[in-house]
Amino acid sequence: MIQRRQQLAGIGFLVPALLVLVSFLAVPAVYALAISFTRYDLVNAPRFIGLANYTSLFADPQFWASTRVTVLFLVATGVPLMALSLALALALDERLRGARIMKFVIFAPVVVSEVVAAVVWRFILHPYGILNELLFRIGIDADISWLTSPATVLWAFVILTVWKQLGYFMVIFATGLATIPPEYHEAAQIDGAGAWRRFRHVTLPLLRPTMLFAITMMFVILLNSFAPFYLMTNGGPAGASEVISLFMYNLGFVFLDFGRASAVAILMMAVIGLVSVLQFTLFREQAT
Amino acid sequence: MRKPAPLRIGGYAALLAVSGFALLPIFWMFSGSLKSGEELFQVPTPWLPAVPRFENYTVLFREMAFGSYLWNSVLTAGATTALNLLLSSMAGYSLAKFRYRGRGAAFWLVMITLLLPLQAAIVPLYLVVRDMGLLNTRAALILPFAATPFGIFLMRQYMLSLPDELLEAARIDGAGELRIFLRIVLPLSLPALAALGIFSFMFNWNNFLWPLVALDNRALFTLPLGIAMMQGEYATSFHQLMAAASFASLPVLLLYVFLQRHFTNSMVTSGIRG
Repeated sequence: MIQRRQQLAGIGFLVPALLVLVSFLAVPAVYALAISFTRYDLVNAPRFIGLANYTSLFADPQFWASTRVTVLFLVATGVPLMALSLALALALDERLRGARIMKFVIFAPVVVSEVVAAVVWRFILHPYGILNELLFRIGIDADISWLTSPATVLWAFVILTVWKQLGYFMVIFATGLATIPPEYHEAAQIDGAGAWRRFRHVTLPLLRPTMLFAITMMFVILLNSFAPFYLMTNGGPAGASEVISLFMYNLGFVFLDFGRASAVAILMMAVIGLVSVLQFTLFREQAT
Repeated sequence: MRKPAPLRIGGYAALLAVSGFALLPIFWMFSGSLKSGEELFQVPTPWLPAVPRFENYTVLFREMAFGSYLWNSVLTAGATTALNLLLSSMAGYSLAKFRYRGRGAAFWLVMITLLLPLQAAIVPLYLVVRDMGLLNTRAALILPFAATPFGIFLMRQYMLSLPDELLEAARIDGAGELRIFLRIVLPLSLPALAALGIFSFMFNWNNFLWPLVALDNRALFTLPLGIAMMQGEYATSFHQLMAAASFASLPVLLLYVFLQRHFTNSMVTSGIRG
């Protein structure tokens, strides 16, 4: 009797949240799969067309151009972001003068919204803006039109994103570093290992779980980045900054092609799911 | 553990340089928000306005609808955060401390949905919310985030460590299940609640893509939507835009100044443990 009442209480506590998860996450995910096999423009009822959305996507040069831009953006942002945040975490010793305030300042952009980041950086990157002026003052008279030239536009987003996310990954690495017992380093030093060898053979291997977590998070965060692209260039010039999230948004909400937009959503979910599973298995391997 | 001197000095220089890089755009936003139109692209650019123009801020309320955007942001971010705290902690408690059929399946569902990328889910979410007839309502902004897989997972992990004996003792004393949850479990989970509250408020305050597709009605627009619309309008100039951006960032930045440790902890440790 008491057992039964407790069981009911447990289920009662669970049900409201479960309803939200099912109606706004699980059902949409399944719905997207179903819609991706149809032609659907919101006005007429969805019509089943099999795999046509997927085959037409794979034959669409714009889809591949967008995928290419996304991969370029991921690599060009991910590599410096990873290296810089790890280096900063290593340098960030709590005993340093001003360490806490520097950590505070470097994390601050994480708190600001992507919309704010977009308008502020549009101001900074303006042809007559502060960045070009600072470059001019140190002798680089390039007068770069950052956001309207296909050669620089992606770099503008790389700079913005590194600025926005650096603090987050620095703190992740700092937390990971703090879990490494100092005795390991002391033992390696007694054995005569220099700073580089200690980093290479003690820090890096022990940091592997943190590293895998950071890479997965980076992948998800960068792939989901939308507001700066939408607000600063809307994919231009000539598609040079049309990342996949913007491509999908335009398919659905501009061209009202919800079948193909859902197909892109399913592909994105599949890729992110794959990366997560990969991270999980690599993590398990590490643990055993 | 001492590092070699060149490494220490180099690291310190790098930290200083990156701090400057992080701070400059935020400083530039606030400084620009107080400038006159002529000062914006003067050469050489002044770091600070000659006379701070607070009109840039009052115009937002007089000639644009920022009062309404602010109210909508406070209302939706506040309501969503409150609901998320309540529902996610209830579900986390249930998954951590009760035994019943289907609990494993429920936990599995939470873990699967935890991996669903929000941006990719936006298209189907739009279709589902549309079929529910909720487009262009406040409910459309609040309900989808009224409980989150991240929140449930975070609360469950935290509540696993609460001692079972405490709950049993309360039951023997005749306390009801709801009373135990409100009077014992929630107060003991304050650190996790603070982390989830901050994370949830920040996420909903800053959220852009979902409100963008869910709302057409300007009367319901939140601050990020208001700024986006303002920048789309041809004549808008940067000092106005910077005032709007500063205004929208101030609440979260102030929260961050006062609750710094909670911010970094909430965003990081919870993730690593998972």
